[in-house]
Amino acid sequence: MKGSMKGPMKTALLLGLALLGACAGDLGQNPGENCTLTLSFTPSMPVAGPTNVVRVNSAATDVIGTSSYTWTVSLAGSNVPFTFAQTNRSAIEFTATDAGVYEVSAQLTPSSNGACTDSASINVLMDTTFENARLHIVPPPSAMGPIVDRPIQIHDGSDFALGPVVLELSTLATGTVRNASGVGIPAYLVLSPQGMGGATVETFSSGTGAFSARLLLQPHDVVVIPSATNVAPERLTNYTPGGTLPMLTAPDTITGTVRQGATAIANARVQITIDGVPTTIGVTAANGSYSVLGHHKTGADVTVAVTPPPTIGLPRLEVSGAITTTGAIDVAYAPGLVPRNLGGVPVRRGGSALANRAVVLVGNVAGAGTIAGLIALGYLRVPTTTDAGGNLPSVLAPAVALSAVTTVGPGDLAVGSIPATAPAAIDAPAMTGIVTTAGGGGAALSGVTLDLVPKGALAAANAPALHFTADETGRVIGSIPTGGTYDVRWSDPLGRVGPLVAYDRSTIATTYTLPPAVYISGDVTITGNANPVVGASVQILCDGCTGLDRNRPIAESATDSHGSFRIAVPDPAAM
Amino acid sequence: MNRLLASLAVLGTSGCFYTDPINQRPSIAIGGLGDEVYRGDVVSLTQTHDDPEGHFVRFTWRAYACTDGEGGADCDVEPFYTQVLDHAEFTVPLRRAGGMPLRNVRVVLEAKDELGATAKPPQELVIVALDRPPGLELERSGNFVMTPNRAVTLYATVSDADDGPEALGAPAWEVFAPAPVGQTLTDTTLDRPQPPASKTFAKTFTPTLVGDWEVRVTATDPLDKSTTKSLVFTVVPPPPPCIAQAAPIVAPGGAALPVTAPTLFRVPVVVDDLDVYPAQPGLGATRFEWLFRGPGAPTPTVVSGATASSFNFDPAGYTPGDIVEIRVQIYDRENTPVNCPVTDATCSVVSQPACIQRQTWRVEVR
Repeated sequence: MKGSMKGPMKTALLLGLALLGACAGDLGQNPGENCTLTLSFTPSMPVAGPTNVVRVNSAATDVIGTSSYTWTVSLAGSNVPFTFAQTNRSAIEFTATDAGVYEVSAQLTPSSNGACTDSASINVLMDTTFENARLHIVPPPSAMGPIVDRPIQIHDGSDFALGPVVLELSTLATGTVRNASGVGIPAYLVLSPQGMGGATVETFSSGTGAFSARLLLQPHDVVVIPSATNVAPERLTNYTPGGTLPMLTAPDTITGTVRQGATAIANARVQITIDGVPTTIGVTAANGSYSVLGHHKTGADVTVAVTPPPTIGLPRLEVSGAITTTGAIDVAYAPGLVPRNLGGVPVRRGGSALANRAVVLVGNVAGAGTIAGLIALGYLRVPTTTDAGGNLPSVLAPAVALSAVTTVGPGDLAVGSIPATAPAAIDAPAMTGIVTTAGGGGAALSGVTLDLVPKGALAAANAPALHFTADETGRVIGSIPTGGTYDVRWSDPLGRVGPLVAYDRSTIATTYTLPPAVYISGDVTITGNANPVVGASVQILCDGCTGLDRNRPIAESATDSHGSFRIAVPDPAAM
Repeated sequence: MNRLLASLAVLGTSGCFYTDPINQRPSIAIGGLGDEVYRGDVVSLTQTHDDPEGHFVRFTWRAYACTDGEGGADCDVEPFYTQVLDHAEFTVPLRRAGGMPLRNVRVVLEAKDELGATAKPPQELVIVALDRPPGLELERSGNFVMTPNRAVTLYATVSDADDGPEALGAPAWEVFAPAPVGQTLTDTTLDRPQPPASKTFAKTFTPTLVGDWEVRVTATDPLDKSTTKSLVFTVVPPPPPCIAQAAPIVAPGGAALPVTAPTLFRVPVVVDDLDVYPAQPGLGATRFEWLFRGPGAPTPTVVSGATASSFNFDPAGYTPGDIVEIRVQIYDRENTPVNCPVTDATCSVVSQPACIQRQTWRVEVR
């Protein structure tokens, strides 16, 4: 028909089209708008196998007209074959032969309105075994997000895409630290969310007691350590961000004595930790008595540490256990622990005297004493300096086997032994050269790093960890103090292989094989904010570890400009 | 003429003087051309005509590819377009029949009415077919801050809608420096696939001075039409790395962080345009330097061998109440000295508190 349609006929046709659109669009979808597609899959945690099938379903809404689906499935960049599981092609199935992250995407193109897509990262596991770990994320301050610390499972032989890692809502909590009289005081605060103990937040309160911290919206336990050493630290429970931080309560006084036989030990420092909260520091009087301020807690694990003055040659004593704090906590050094004077003992390297060198006498002293009737561990650490002749000055130390850590020069340490008997000299052996190579994976591991973390005598002497970076062949050449023991920690900044830790090694092997890596990836955002969190610290931490190892990352990364991270962790199957 | 003679004959035989009206020629004109025409454009032309008798007029269009075109000079003998229509629509060829680039199109319009009277003279229109300038897009590698002696790869992607990218040679590169300098542009191998409808050329640019630099690129096509674009770089002194996060918390003012258990002092994140932590592909690694000030020591001293991102401190080796300082300083490959006074707990070599290269923890042994 030539010409234009006018009048009632055109009106009727337009009305008809409008009605048709309303029906097809299902709730008023306009032809100019896109449909919506959502993928889901079963089983929810698929395991790889030659006959293990994964089905991916799609759910579509706002479709006008007929539907046309386009699917892709890939694993590590390679296409994976699939079959249609519905006659209209709205579902597919594929065989998950290998473990890994399968990327599935689908596009639905309706005949009469805009297309829509969805994608899914499907983690196909090698098997059902895994290692527990913690995912620890610290956003940059500018992101105004909370610190989170969540459990995570690292599966055997399987990369794992976490997908969106959405940090919980947080708030900038403000409050005031008040002493038992209600007066604001400066203090150090450690706030631990009750549902996420690893996500501790630290802050300081000002001179008026005012503090602020970005916290998760949940109750926190707060350990308050006042700056004033005569105010008892305390754990305040059930602090709710936005609420009022309870006042510190009146402390309990804990007393005792420090003696060796009948001899009172003056100027010893005593500190007691009750259920993780330290007391004030007590200093023994001339009669050996001390008192500290803390808070009794029935059944709590209590640690008592006594540090004697360094001049008397006695070791530090420490004990932990179910110690009652309501009664006197007396410390008794073993009467037979008679210090000897090592003054005049020469310190030498290769027969040459080492004048004016720092020497730290260290060692464990068994049977050194008791605390509250419990056998305490004795640690000796006596720093001194050789005289101009290379001899130790007058210095007391127990007559037990000890070690002497001598700083011969910058970066040049030596561990010498001191016998229980009178030593003729203390040797400071020359540094030991090491040549060690990291292997694993298909190519040389250029740039891998080696950290040698001191243990034993070196650690007691506060020797630093040594850090090396391998050359292009994965080889490290260096020198280390002779006689030391180390935790050997290899890691690959480029994530080609997983990190390797060998504990308490007195020698460094010539080769180490780093384990294969599996990769944990994700995209960090904050609840209610679509912006990616850029520059967040993302760490995989040990779940079952204690002490320093609990906070030492197994692997770490930082989120990129898309808020994404990808961390190589050791494959549990290879450990 | 024949009709005139016939009329005279009729007039002579009848005695009456009668003449048929003389069929006059139609007049015509070409219209409809826009402002600019480029090679490869589609040109639509119309005509206006006037036939005094109102006869039907037939139009014949011919279009010739030319180099000159004026008066038919230097045109192809055969038209590239011939149509008998009341309008014309044709695509301006890129080249003449012999392959020479086309400069003009000579359009000839002839008209004849239904009695055979032709418009005289035929109408001619010489259309100047402009040459499109070549396309030129400039890019640089990365988005890092430009610093002296840091190389960046520059990409110039040229295209030519008229003649195709193969007709273009390499573009001309010029560098305008803030002060006289030597060679700063060098050839480099293209590290990306060639795009299908264009050609990409790469150069390595290594500025040597702080200041504003301009790299000007000119692409020229076979008809000497050129396009010039520039990349402007502000070359600044190397930005230092910045400590983005530090743990544990740093005590404010003169306060001290109470430490009751072995503690790992760490710098989890360093941001920089060169060397970062944790590692990122394509970037180097931050160098860490740790210093320690024991109880009673006058100043912090460098801890030899401590060059990792963390430093372990065990308070058990000290007496409760002791105050120690643990300090970290960071460097990238520029090794800019962290030269604030040793008494300063923090240091920013660029005087920006948000970007510090030194952090100091004042620690109280508990």
